[in-house]
Amino acid sequence: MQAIVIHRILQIIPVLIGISIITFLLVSLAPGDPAEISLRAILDTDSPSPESISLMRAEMGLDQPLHIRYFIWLSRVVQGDLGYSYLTHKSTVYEILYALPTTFILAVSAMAISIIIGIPLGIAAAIKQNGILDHFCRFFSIIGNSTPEFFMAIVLLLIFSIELKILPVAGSGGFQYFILPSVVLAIGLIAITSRIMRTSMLDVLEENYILTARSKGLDRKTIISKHAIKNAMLPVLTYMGTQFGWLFGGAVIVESIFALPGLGRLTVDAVNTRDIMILQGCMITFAIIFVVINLLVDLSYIYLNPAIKYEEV
Amino acid sequence: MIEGVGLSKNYVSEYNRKMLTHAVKDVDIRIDNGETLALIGESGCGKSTLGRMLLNLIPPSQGEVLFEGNCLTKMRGAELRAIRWKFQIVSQHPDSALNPRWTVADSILEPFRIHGKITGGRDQKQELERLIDLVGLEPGQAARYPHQLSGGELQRAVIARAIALDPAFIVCDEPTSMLDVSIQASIIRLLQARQKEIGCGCLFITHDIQLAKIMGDRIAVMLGGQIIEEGKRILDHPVHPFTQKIVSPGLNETAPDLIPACECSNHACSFLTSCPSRIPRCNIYPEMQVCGDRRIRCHLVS
Repeated sequence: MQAIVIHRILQIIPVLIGISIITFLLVSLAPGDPAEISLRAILDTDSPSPESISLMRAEMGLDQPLHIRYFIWLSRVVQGDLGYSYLTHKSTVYEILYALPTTFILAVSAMAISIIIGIPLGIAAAIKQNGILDHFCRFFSIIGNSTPEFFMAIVLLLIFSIELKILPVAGSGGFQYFILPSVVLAIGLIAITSRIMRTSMLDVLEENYILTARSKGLDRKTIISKHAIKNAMLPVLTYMGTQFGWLFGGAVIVESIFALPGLGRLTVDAVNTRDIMILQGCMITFAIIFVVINLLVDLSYIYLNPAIKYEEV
Repeated sequence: MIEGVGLSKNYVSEYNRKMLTHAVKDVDIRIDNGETLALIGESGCGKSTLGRMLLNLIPPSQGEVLFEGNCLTKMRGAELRAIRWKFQIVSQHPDSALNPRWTVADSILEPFRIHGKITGGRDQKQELERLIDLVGLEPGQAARYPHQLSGGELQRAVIARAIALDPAFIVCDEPTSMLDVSIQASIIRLLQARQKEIGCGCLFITHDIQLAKIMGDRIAVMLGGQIIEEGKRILDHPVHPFTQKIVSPGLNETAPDLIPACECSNHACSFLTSCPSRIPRCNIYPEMQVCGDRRIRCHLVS
C-alpha cells in the first residue's frame, strides 16, 4: 500500500522534468532578450543601459550554453523565483497566487454542482432505463453538451442578472459572484457525468454478482446502494479527475465573461500582452495542478478498487 | 420440489415491437428434492433463460413456477425476497459472480445478514469456517478479494455462498465450463457431495454430454427453446433425431440437404431444418408425449 503510493509519486517526477524542459525552451526560443525584458520590469524603464544588460545577462547566466542555462533556470524555479511581469512589475509568483484562489473556488464549486446533480441523475436514469427521466437526461445532456459556454453564460446572465436582477452581472467580491460562472461550467460537466454514470451503472447491473445479490433476497434499493454504485463510480471518477484539471485552465472563457480575476484570465492577458514570464508561470502552474490532481485520482483508485491495492509494484 | 408449468419467455426488439424472439417456448419441467436434472443443449437454446425463470430472476412471459406448493410467479416484493434463500444459482462466470470490492468472506456471509430471522443467532465466524472447510478452501483465502483467487477457488467460494443457508434448490449454470479440465472434476465432486448432504434439488445446465450423464438422475435435451426429449438414461438410447445427432455427431454428415429456415412456418418442429428423418407432418409443431420411460416431442414416435 505504502509502496504503491510512493511508486505513484515517484512516477510524476519524469513528467515534471519534461514539463520544465518544454517551458524553459518556450522562453529561450521566444523573441527578445530575457535579460533586457527583466531589467525593464525591475528598473521600470524602457531602455536599460547596455552595461546593465550585460551584467544582467551574466547574472541570469544567459552567457552560458543552453543546458547549463536550463539547470540555472531550474534551480531558480525550484526556489520559487519565476521572474517578474514586465507589465505590472510584480513577481510572477505573486500574480499567480493572487489569481489561484478565484480559479480554485470556481473549479471546486463547478465540480461540486456536477457531482451533486450529475451522479444521482445518471443513477436514476439507469435504474429506470428508457423511462421519462432517462429520456429527459438524454435530451438535457445533448443540449448541455452542444451549447457553447459563452452562449450559456449570456443566456443565464440575461435571465438572472438583467431580467430578474437576483445575481451580479460580473466582477468579484462575495460568493454570489461565483454562482453563475460555476453553474455555466457545471452544466457541460453534468451532461457528460450523468451519461457516463448511467452507462457504467447499466454495465454493472448486468454483472453476475447483481444477479447473485438478487438471488440472495436483497431488495433492489440495497442492491443498487451496496453492490452497484461503488463499482459503477470508477469510470466517472477518471472522467472527473481529468475534467478537474481542465477546469483550472479551461475556465478562460467563463472567467473572461464574468470578469473573474482567475488563472485563465491571467493566462489570456499574458498572451495578449506577451508577458512571457507570467505565461511561463501559468504553464508550470497548470501542469503541476494537472499532475497533482491525476495523482490524487490514482490514489483514490486504490481506495475504490481493491484490485489495485495488492498489485505487484 | 420445484416445478415450471408452460413456461415461455419472449423478448421484444427495442426498435421493432413486432419482432419477437422466443427464447423459451412452452416448457414443463419438474425437479424433486435431492434429484438432479441435467439440462443439455446448444448455445442459445434457452437453457440459462429457463434456469433463471425457475429462480424467478427473470419473470416468465407465460406459465408459472411452483415451489413447495407456492406459486413463485405470483409472489411480489418482500414475500418473494423472504423465500429467495431457498433457491440459489452457481453461474458460469465465477470471476464476475462476486462483488469485486468485497472480500470473499463478506460475500459468503451476506445471506446471513440478510436473512437474520432464519439464521437466528448463528455465529457468523463459525459459519464462515464451516463453509470454507466444506468447499475445500484455505481459511486464509476468505479474507481475500475475488481477483486474488483462481477460477477454481472462486467457483468454490461461489458454491460456499450458494449453499450457505442450505437451499432447497440450486441451478448450476455450466459451473465448470470456464475452468481448467484439471479442476472441473474436483468441482463436480464437490457439487455432488454437498448436494447429497443438503438433499436439495439441482438443475445442472451443461453442453457436455459426458458431464450430463455423470450428474443427471434425469436428463432433458433442449432445442430452440423447447425440451424435446426428457427421461432417465436417454443419452444411452436416444430416440429424438436431435438427441441422436448430439450423442453421435458423426451421423450428421449423412444428413440430407437442409431446408432454409425462412421456408419453415413458425409452428414447425424446432429441428425441422436439419432433421435427417423428417416427414411432411413435421411442419406442424409436435406436442410433448409420453413414450415408455421418457417424454418426447417428435412425430416419429407416434
